Amino acid sequence: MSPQAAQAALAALAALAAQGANALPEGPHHACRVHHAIGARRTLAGGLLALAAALLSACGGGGSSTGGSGSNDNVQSIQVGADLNGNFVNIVTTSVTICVPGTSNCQTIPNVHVDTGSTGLRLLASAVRLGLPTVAGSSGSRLHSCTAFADGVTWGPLAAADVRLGNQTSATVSIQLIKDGSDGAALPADCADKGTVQDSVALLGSNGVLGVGVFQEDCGSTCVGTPVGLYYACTAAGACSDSVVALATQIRNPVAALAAHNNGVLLQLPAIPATGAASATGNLIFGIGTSSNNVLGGTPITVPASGARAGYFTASYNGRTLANSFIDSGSSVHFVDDASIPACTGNLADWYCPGSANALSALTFNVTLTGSNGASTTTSFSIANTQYLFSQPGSAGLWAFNNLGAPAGGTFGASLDLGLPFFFGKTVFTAIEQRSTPYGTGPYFAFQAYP
Amino acid sequence: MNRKAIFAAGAVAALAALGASAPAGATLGEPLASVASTRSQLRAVSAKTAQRAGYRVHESTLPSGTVVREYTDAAGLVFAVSWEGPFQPNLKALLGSHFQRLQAAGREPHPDHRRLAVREPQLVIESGGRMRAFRGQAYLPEQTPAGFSFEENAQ
Repeated sequence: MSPQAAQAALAALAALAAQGANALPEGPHHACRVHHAIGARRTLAGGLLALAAALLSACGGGGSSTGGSGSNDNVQSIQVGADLNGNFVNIVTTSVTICVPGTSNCQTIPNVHVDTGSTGLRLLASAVRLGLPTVAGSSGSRLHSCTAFADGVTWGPLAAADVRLGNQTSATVSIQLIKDGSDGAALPADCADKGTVQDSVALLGSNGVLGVGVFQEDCGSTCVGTPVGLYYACTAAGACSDSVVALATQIRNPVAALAAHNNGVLLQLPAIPATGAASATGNLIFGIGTSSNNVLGGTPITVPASGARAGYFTASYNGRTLANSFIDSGSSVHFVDDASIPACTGNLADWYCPGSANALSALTFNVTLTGSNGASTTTSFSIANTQYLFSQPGSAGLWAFNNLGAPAGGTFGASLDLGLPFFFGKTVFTAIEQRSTPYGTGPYFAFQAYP
Repeated sequence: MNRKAIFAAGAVAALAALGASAPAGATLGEPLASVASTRSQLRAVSAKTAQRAGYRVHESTLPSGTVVREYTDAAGLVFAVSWEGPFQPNLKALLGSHFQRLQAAGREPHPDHRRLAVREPQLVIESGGRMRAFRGQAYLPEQTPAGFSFEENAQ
């Protein structure tokens, strides 16, 4: 982003903090071209106010963050806009309310990244003021997690919390508190050796990650029998050792632990212009086929729950067949290796730049997605000239794009990763493994036009 | 995507590769003997080696199910490594002194948590994936034999 935009974002936050709870933030982006529903705007304001409160160390906590459509109790608002650092585009966030289990002692954490490509709630310990109970491992130890992402690891203890999603409660599930050093547990060398420890807003770009993907637990059955460097049992003295963990204790997809609406999620984001938007506000809806607001009209694209192709469907376009394909809100761009799309040059060389840098030059690809159940559906994805998108007039205020693409860089052969650009103008369904829905048993992906 | 990164990325890149000495078990850029120590450090449960035209592939399966591959040239130098599977392996054991460069890249602004890349004339590292599906590769472009290509897990 431009220095000007960063300053504007910081100034807006500073003004917000200075004005306290009476401020109604307009944010730095007055030129928003996306319609905000009344309920969603209220929620957005609530999220920013919570941030201001955290900055002032005067957090009042509590309160519901639900918003969105009508009287449904299974929905909360999501936003795509400037991230907490003013760095990242196409990051979709929500506010998450956590409570000490079985109590009304709660706190709402704003700016949590909504990620259908991971499992479990992980929050920066620095953003959490509640005293949550620890989660016990064998022999009186406390469980910690070394969670790998492609760009590094999050390290910290497990905690038990009630997680409120919409007006539903996921009771006493394990979450991760990122970099909570209060118990003296030392970062294991084998964890540090997996990548950069991502332990701050500066590195995460958010207060944490709400993983609502296709799996019920982050590890699953593997970790019940085999230590794989994901869970560590730490002694009172702070020594940690690679550990097995029972399924019920593992970090859980909080949606799977809801009493109702527990078979998956929908993400709804409005359509945005091909030139980008300052922000977009939509809905995170819990349950599939459990209410009037989560009815599927499209085709479920089933994916395997285990094995070498776990989580993958096959995508076919332009005569190419990509067997390791998926849909992922945590990918900020479409990742695909396609030699027919020109890469950008210079500092943008990692991204795609079809056509002229003086124009949008968007390419649209019709693609067929085929699931492991043999069912298929057609859709399209678009990749425009990244250099144009990031240098066009007003680009510093744009945070949401429906046509960013980048090479996967050889790390995923035969793969089309339909990232957040795919989600605009759609309702995207992510069904959880082993859970039945009126449209089949998860895991599957599906989508339909929105609104 | 991180626009700040785009306009600041090149600078740090040149500084990093001049890493410290390689720790035990490190393989990328190390001689053939390091393959055995890496397999030991990663607690490989099975291992096999295959001859290709101009290079060899040393494949190890870890307890987590993740497969790592180390590629050696005719002189025995490990010029490339790769990993693929449900859980991230110990990357320092695979990358050796070059791990520092990956760590530095993780602290620089980058697009999201799905991909991390280092692309320099003497070193390329690409790490990608999401929970339960990670994959990455690293190689020394100036040491890579003609006709080389990374291998993938059978589907």
